[in-house]
Amino acid sequence: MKKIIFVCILLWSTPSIAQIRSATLVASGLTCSMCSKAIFKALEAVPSVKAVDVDIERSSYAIAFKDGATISLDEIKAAVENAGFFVASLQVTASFTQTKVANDTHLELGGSVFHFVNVPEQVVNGEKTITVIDKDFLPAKDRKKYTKHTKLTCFETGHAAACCPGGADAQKRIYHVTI
Amino acid sequence: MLRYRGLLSTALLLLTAYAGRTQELFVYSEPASNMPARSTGLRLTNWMMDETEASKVNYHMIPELMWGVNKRLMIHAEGFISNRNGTLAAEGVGAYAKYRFLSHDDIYRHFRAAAFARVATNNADIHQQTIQVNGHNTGYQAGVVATQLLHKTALSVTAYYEQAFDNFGGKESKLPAGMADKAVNYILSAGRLMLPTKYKSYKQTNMNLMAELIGQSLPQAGLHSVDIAPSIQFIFMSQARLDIGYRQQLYSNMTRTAPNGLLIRVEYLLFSLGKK
Repeated sequence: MKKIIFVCILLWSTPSIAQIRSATLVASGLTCSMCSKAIFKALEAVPSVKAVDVDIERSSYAIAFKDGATISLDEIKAAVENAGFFVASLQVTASFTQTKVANDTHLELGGSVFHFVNVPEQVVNGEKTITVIDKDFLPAKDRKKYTKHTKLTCFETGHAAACCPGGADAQKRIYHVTI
Repeated sequence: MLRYRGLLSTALLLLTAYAGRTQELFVYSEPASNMPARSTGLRLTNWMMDETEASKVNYHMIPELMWGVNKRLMIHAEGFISNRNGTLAAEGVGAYAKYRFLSHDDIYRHFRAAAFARVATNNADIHQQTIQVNGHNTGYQAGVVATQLLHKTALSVTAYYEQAFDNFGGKESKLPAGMADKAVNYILSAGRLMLPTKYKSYKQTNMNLMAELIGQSLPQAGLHSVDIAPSIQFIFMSQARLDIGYRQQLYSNMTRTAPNGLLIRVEYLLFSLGKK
């Protein structure tokens, strides 16, 4: 129990001077431009999205977010899935100012909490790209290799409760990322 | 002429299968994938079928309204209009639903499967043994479709059961006594994205070549038919679709009023109409 409380304090005490700027998404399951346009239109309709630039040939979408918007990566994923396809990779670019990151630490970014997995302890400065490794944000076989890097079960549930039982933010969505 | 058409159709099918690169928006079948959730599609299908017993073209028009209910389910409402009784007349309505229950997706490829069903009414006279719930018979059909997309090629297998009832018109619209009212159908579809060779913009016109083998069995009567249907498809602005296909009977031991003919279809997709 003491260990859990310690982990929770560690998780929530990280300073949060960072901001999400953009994201690059690769979708799977399609080739044709009509399918690609369906994803493009769905991403454009997400409220936090300012603009989308597409590379149809690579099924890749460069997403720019509105300044100060609350960003939900689950909404981005849902947009792709509602268009009839899947997320093969999602990389988020954020700007950091003297931000300390380490394994199993949390960081608040654009209104969401990010949990770092398989990163060396470091202080991050400037623009950095982080890769989302939650379920359905990358192929299951690629995701498997990250399971050995964290023992916290929130990696599977995506919610704080599994790591910090009884905490005030037990239902909070936690996105797992790596650098 | 018929022989020439048959050869042409076979050549196109072989070419398509050999080239092995296609798209999956098939003309004579539906793929396992659905349209985007909350999107609306408008479709107008025209059949111009040669009557075998007369020098007359059977014209059928099928307007369809399509709706993506969610990421797995889509529905169509359709109307059947034809000139079979002399003038253009409404003959019935139908509803179609397709549910995608399996998706194994990877970059540029997927293997998907869906279950579908259609119910339809019709008031036309019944003058043939072949059963076709979308446009000729009152009844229902239910089946499965599995589609494999491999980059620019798509292959699909559709299998469905079909049950016909008496049509809702006059005396001649009843199923004749002793006539088979159940059918087993299959469609093998192959398609290839021919143009553009490299995608740069949604404004590029896409051209797909497709070929489909359409089979029907009436097990109660031991009757079978097989058709081949090559088609060409253009997609404009990644949003509007024009299909031109020709269906040609290869083999049949059942009576069919007008098995051979042209299909011209236009379709327009309104993305995410229900959102924002």
